[in-house]
Amino acid sequence: MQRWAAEGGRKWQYCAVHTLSATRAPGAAASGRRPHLAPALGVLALVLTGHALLLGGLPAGHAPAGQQSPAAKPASVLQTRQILALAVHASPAMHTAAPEQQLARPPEAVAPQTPTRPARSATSATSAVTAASPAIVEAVLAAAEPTPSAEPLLRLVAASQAAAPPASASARHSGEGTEGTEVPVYATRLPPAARMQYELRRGALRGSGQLVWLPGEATYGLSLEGSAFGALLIGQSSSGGFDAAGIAPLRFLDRRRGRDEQAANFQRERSLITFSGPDVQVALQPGTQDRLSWMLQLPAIIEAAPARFVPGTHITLFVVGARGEASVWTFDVEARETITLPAGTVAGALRLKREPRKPYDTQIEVWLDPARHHLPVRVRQAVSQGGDATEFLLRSLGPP
Amino acid sequence: MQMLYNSDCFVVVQFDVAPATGAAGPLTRGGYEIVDKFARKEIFIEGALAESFKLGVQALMENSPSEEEFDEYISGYTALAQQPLQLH
Repeated sequence: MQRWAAEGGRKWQYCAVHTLSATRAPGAAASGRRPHLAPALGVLALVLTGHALLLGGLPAGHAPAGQQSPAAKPASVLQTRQILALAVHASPAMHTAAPEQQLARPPEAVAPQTPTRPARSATSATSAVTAASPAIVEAVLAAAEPTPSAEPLLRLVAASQAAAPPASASARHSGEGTEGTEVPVYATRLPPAARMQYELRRGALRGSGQLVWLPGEATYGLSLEGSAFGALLIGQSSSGGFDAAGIAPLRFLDRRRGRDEQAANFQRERSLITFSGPDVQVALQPGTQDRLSWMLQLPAIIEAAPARFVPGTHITLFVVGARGEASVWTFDVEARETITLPAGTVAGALRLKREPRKPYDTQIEVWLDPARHHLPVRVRQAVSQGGDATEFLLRSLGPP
Repeated sequence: MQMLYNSDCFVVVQFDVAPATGAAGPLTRGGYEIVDKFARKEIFIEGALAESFKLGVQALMENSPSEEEFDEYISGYTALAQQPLQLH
């Protein structure tokens, strides 16, 4: 009985509260006990607001109006709630955003944050926070214009990014880092100078491509161009020298139709790779290639030890693009195949494949001809979940 | 003669005709032959029309278009096609 009474009492209380709030007129928050005063107060509030607007010439909802009339109060309460919701929303992201982010972001957006060294290890706490920080910035920017309470948060994020660039660098591809892929240094034997003409295919489009390899005594030049309908589809060039690991790029340029030219600079004296676009740095390790030089480094590695790379073996390279993207490319030696190309039939071409590791990653298949210094006679590049693959098929090979 | 495009619906082939010997200036006679595989008709376009066709394709290529988008663009030109295609 007592309990029932207590429950009944609580119920009654709820009811009472409910009734009170129901009878309370909107805009008369302070006078809940005297509902009959509400209309009068509302009118007063309206008149006061009107005066305030006319006198101050300020936009509605601004601070002075809020101080003078109770009618404006609900608006300011609402604003405070918005800020609170924002803060609450942002803080869980600190802990959970890291895995989501890798999946959700498109390649162009991912690239600037991509500087990574596979061998580097960061503490999980730092990596979680730093990987999440761009997500916070995005969340804050997406949610609303910066509010007073959001600004310190932004500053904090910026500070943490500035304070720990190497940590954020290794955090981006924490998945790759934890795999612990060691990038070996291979012996190399460079192919002689060559000019290779290709037929280019992208979807139903047909065009032409050309790879020019000009090795000198101490330096080299390398370029790849592909065009269709008189327009450039791919334009890449790499230049640099040689070291114990083979091709040692200094500068890599990438221009594609409709986009600005981007560059990766291999600052060997500082053991760093910097980029013309994104403000990121990648540590330079021996044997690092760019997104063009791998096409010659791969033949050079196999030429040095042709008997070693049979189907079932792997070649691992660290490859850097011009937009700050850097990752380990593991080529699986898959098979020896006889393929037919515009240049004729190639017997015993060695097919290597690099599988994409994540959405929007690059998938590569390459066929190397043992009779042509293992130079690539067919290359197929695709972006996983992206558009059509671009394929190069050898038309002719000659001196440059 | 160079194939530029080959989808399920259309083939585009570029023809470059060398200028007659002794002709002055950069004038070359060339153009595109577009074959509509389903309608079994083809059209040869040259001059200003060929140029605008090429510019349109180049503009399309900036946004890495799908085959359907290309086909749709090309179909705007094959509407004019009259020449029946002969298979031989």
